[in-house]
Parts: sequence; C-alpha cells; structure tokens
Amino acid sequence: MAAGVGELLRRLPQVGAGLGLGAVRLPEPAASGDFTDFLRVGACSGQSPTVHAPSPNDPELDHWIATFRGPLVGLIASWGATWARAEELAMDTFAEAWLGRDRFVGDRSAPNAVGPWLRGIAFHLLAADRRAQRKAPARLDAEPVAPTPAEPGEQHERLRAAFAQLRVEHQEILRMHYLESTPAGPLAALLGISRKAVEGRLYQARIALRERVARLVPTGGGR
Amino acid sequence: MKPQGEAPDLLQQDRDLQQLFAGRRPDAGRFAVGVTARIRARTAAVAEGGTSAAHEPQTRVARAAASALPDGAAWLGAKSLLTWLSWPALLLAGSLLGGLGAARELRRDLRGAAVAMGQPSVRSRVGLFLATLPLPLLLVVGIWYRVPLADLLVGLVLMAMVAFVVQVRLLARHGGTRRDHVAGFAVSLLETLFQISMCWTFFGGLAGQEPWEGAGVVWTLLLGVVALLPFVAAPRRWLGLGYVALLIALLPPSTTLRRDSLAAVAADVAAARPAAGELIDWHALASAVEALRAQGTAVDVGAGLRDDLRGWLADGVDLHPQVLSAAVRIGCLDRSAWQDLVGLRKAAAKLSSWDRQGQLYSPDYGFWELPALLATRPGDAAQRAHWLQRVDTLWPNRLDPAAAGMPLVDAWLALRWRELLDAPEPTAELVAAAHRLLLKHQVAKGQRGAGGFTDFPNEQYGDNAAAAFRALDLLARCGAPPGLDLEALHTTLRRNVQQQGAIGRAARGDGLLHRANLVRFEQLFGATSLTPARWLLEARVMLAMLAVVLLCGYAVWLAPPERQGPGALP
Repeated sequence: MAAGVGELLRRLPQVGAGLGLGAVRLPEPAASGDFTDFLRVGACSGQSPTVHAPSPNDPELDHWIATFRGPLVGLIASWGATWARAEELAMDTFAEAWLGRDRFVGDRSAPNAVGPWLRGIAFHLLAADRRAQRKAPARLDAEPVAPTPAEPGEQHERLRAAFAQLRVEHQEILRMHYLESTPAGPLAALLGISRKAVEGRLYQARIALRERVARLVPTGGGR
Repeated sequence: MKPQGEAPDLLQQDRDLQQLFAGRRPDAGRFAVGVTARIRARTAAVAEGGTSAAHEPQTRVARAAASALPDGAAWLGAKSLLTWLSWPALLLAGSLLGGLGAARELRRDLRGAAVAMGQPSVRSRVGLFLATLPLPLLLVVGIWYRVPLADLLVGLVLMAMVAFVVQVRLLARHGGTRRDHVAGFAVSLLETLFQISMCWTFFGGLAGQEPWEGAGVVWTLLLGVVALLPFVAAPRRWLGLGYVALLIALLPPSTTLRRDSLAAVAADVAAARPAAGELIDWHALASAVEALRAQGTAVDVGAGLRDDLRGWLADGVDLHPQVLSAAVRIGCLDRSAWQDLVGLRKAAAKLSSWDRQGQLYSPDYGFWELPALLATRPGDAAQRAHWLQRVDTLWPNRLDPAAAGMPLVDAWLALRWRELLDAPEPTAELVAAAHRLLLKHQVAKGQRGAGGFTDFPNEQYGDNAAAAFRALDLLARCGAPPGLDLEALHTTLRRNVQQQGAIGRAARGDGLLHRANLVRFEQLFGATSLTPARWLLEARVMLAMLAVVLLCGYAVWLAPPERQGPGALP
C-alpha cells in the first residue's frame, strides 16, 4: 500500500504534464495536511489517483475551473466545510457538472449561467456529504474557521482574529475573493448578485476588517 | 468620500489578506488532476454497470419529484393538471414520512428510558396495554356489521390515541420522553389525518357528513396542527409552519360549497348535452328536470339538446329506449320528432304491441311507449280504456310479496302512465300496495345506504339513485307510509350528494340524479327536524377528530419539556 502511494506521488507530475496542465506541484507532505486530503480523493472516487486519468481535454471544463475554482472553494468553506473538504467538494462539483453538462440548458460559456449551476451542485454535494458522514452537522450558516496564515506572525494572528469577528457575508466575500484574487464577475455569478454588489460588499468587508484589526492593536503603554 | 490615506492601508490590507489565504489556495494542477480523476472514476463506474452520482436512485427520485413541480408557461397543459393532482399525494407522503421520523424519535426515547431505568418492562407494559385493548375484536365486529370504513378508521385512530396518551404518561413519569418529540409526532399525525380528510372531503365526502361537517373536520385538524407547532423543536417548527401555509393555500374552498341548491342543479341541467350513448346521463337529466319542475322552478334544456335529438331521429339513429324515455320526460320531442320515431321499424313494432291483450311487461326505460302512442295515435275511448287496463296489469304483481322482477319500477310506470291516460286517482288498494313497496324497498339500518331505496330488497346491494328517484315519485303521489324512516332517507340523500365531491361527477350521471333526489325530497317534506341525538350522530367524525386533537394536546402537556443547560455560573 505504502509503495503504491509512493508510486502515485512520483508519477503525479508526469500525469499533470501529460494532461497539458503544466508541471504539477506536489504538496509538501510535512508542511500541510492537504497531502492526506489529496489521497482521500482516490478513496472517495473509488479508484486510485495513480490512474492515468484521461483528461476530458475540454476547454470548457478548463475554463470553468480557471474561472470558478477559487471562489467556489471559498464559498463551500463559507458554508461550514473545512478547507480540505471544500477543495474536494469543489473538485466533485466540477466533475459532476462536466458529466451532467448535457442536462444543462443554459449557455455553458456564460459565467452568469454556469455560476448558479455550480453553486447548486456544490450545495447538494455538501448536504449529501454531511448526510453520509452522519455527524452532528454544523449549520450551513455557521461561522466557519478563519484561514490559517501561511506565515504565522503577530500581524497575521491579529488579522485572523479580526476576520473571525466579521459578519458571515463579509467573511464569505473575502474568502471567495482573496483565495485566488478572483475578480468580481465570477463571485457575482456564484452568489447570484451584481458585480456592483460584490464590489460594494468587498469594500464594506475591508472597512469592517480594518476597524476590527485596529481594535485589536494594543494602544501602547498598557496599564 | 473615502478618507485620505485609506488607499495605502487597503493596499497593505490586500497584501495581508492574500498572504492570509495563501496557505489555503488550491494548487491549480492538483485540482485539475483531482477533477479528472473523479470524472474518470465515475465514467468507469457507469461503464461497469454502476451508477454515477448524477444517476443515483435518490437523484432519480429527486428528478421525479421536481418533474411534478409547475413548469412555468405550460401550467395550463396536461402535465400541469397531473402536477396539481399529484400535490395531495406528495403532501400526504410528506406527512407520513414526518410521522415515521417522529415515531422513531419516540421509540428511541422509549429504549433510552428502559435502559436508564433498568426496566425493560416499560415497553412490555405498554405493549401489554395495547394488546389488551379490544382493537382486534372491534375491527372484526366492525367489518362483520358493515360499519362504514370512515367510522371504523376514525374509531381506531381514537383508540390508538388513547393508547398513545397512556404510553406518553408512562414514559413521562420516568422522564423518558421529551415534549418536542411528542409534539413532533402529534403534529405529524394531525397533518396526515388532515391530508386524508381533505382528500376525502374534496373527492368523495366524509362518512355521510354535511359539507360544513367535512369542512369542520378539516379545520379542526388544521387548528390542532397550528396549536401544537410551537412545541416542536425550533428548526422543524419553521419547516412545519411553511408546510401548514402550503396546506392552507391548497385547502379547497369547495369543502364549504353546496352543489345541491336549486340554482346549481338548474344550471347543470341547462348546460347538459349528453351524447346518444350516455344512458345514465339522460336518465339523470330527465329526473333533475322533473324534480325542478315539481319544485315550481321553470327549467328548460338547451337548444343544442333538442337539435341533437331531432338530428338523430331524422337520421334514423337507433336510439336506446332510455334516451327516448328521458326525452319524453323532459318534453323535448315535437310532433315531427314523434313521426320520425314511429317511422322506425322497431319502435312501430313496440307500439303496435299495445293493442294486444294480457299482461304488460316493460322496464322503466320503456316509459316512452305510451307517450309516443298517444302523440301519434291518440285513439278513441275504447282504445284508451284498453291501454289503461293493460297498464293496470302491472299492479297485481305488486300485491304478491314473492313476485319476481322489479316491483318498484312497475309501480312507478303504472302510476305515471295512468296519469297520461287521465285515469282516476289511485284506489286505496293501489296506495296501500305502493306503501308496502316503499317500506319493503327502503334499505334497512345497518346496511350500506340505510334509509335509501333499492330495487332488490332481498339483496344487500345498498341504495341506488334510480330506485330513490322512483320511490320519491311514488311518495309524491301516494304519500309516506307510517314507519318509513324519513330522517334516515334525508341523511342518505344528503350523503349521496356530498359523496359526489365538488368536482366532476356531480354535474352529470348519478351525481346529478342524487342532487335531483335531494331537491325533490326537500320539496316534498321540507327539512326534517334535527334532534340533538341526530346531530351528534352526523357530527361524529368531527367530534372524534376534536377528541384526537385534544388527546394530542394532552399528550404534549404530559411530556416534560426539554431539559435546560446547567445554568448560569456564579
């Protein structure tokens, strides 16, 4: 089994390159829990990820992923999933969408049509995932965990603490935007609101975050 | 306006935020590989005969359910009709599923209580109580004595509720149940009963109840649901409120409609245009017209019906005698139509048989023969006396209780034909025979349709509309004999009207005939007095449902509220 995993890891970059995805950067096992998450992908799909998965080689799918990957992961994380689970569910979402693309009656090249569709699939997959896990599920609108900074430091700890104090919709828009610096268009499509509303919400979220960070900054002198 | 110096702050903040999320940023390549692997795995699973997530059974169920939803512009189409018809079934299924879920919770409580107390006997005591209830015995007796299904079901529900309250009381005494669980079960039960009673009232009538009583049952249950909802756990409470709102929106206003008013019957008569082959519709239409005319209401059928008849006769269509008899009773055959009719070979042969001697045999749909004879060949006094003599041959059979055939039909024909021949009033002997017939043909208590009339008193077929119509005609001419149960007759006639429901059948066929019968009865006898005992009997379903609601409330009150937290710290 362990040999199989090693083989998998060795071959992954070639797989990604073969798929025209560019060099696939392997996650550092020691540095992140994402590596084990990645292994679960194979378990979840019922097949080893070592398979030379034939790419759908579909520019449409590539376009969807490039457009919605970051905000979709952020959105699912905002619904209460862990970051690792959110990423897996986003993969599931794109796979389901691509397999069921013939059922989609809208314009598949229009982000405004595809966004709500992906959001719907993701929501149902998350609900199904929770049912399958049979845990006491967190409410969908429960406040999710704040992101963990890549380089922990005092400023980042403060920012993280301030982020956790934000309103749910402010957290949501920040996750969706800053995860991959996604522009307002895909965010608007996923949330079903206008670009102006997204920009306004982002602006308000930044202001609120700055205020909360300011409150957390020691005033100096102490008591 | 943004304050000065904000932009650099925000830029700094942007960088900080991007850095904050950097650790969670999905790797593009790994992400694409993950998607591809999933697509391949699911494609392979489908190829091996499995199902992809998109085609899993639950997805198919969800799609089937979604297909039942209204689809925008096509809401007037057949699919939409099926959709709306499927709503009650979907709602009922929802109620039943909710009830099953709530029952599971209660069962869990029961197990928990038994384990916590170390007394598995709690369950056995409840089971013993249920087993000792005479439910099986009552069920057998009810079926044996042909208790109406609705009464049987309502009785069983009532007794089950008593058992439920006893069970909750036992559990509550040991702290083994929770109020929100009991309330959840009670609300689901009431919702299910509400759905059943609404469908029953809407499509068929509820255990012989008046329309207001059917509506009373529905509203009693609905109010019970609303009253108990606040005790259900919070998330399900809001779900339940939405569900109740949907139920109220779908509550058919027809539960409070009366379709047996004179105006309603007259409107349906005026609009009726049965085809040549719809025999029951013709008979019902003629009976409704006669009932309305007896009431003093001027009524006429549409011109289209006359045109149809004239055309059929002119074309030599072989009309069934039922249609001809109905047309005669309605009065929509003119002289030219009669000439066309007697020109038909079979009709001419039938009419010429009246000149013979001996016993007359004719079913009720042979009513047209004498009017046709009189219209085309009035005859002299001797001929009319001969025809009257032949008509009276129908009566001797009625004096013989063991006579075969359909005595009620013969007596009705004889009375009606005698009037056409301007015969004198029926003799006391004929009236007495008619009274004996009426008493013999009224359906006895304990049988289906008790109080109504049947053509076959020796069989337990229950009442039927055509026999009731003929009996009412006899009652109008000979009066009601002592011993005839008019209250039971009235109740059955009302029930028959209500059982037609508010849509479809009520406007034609037996539905129209039942309504005509009720109109005729009320014209003859007016409203019979409603004694308290009779009221209790007729409102029994509503009272039973009220008792069920109260027992549900009592069970919820018995169950202890959910335990609170440890309390505030000092």
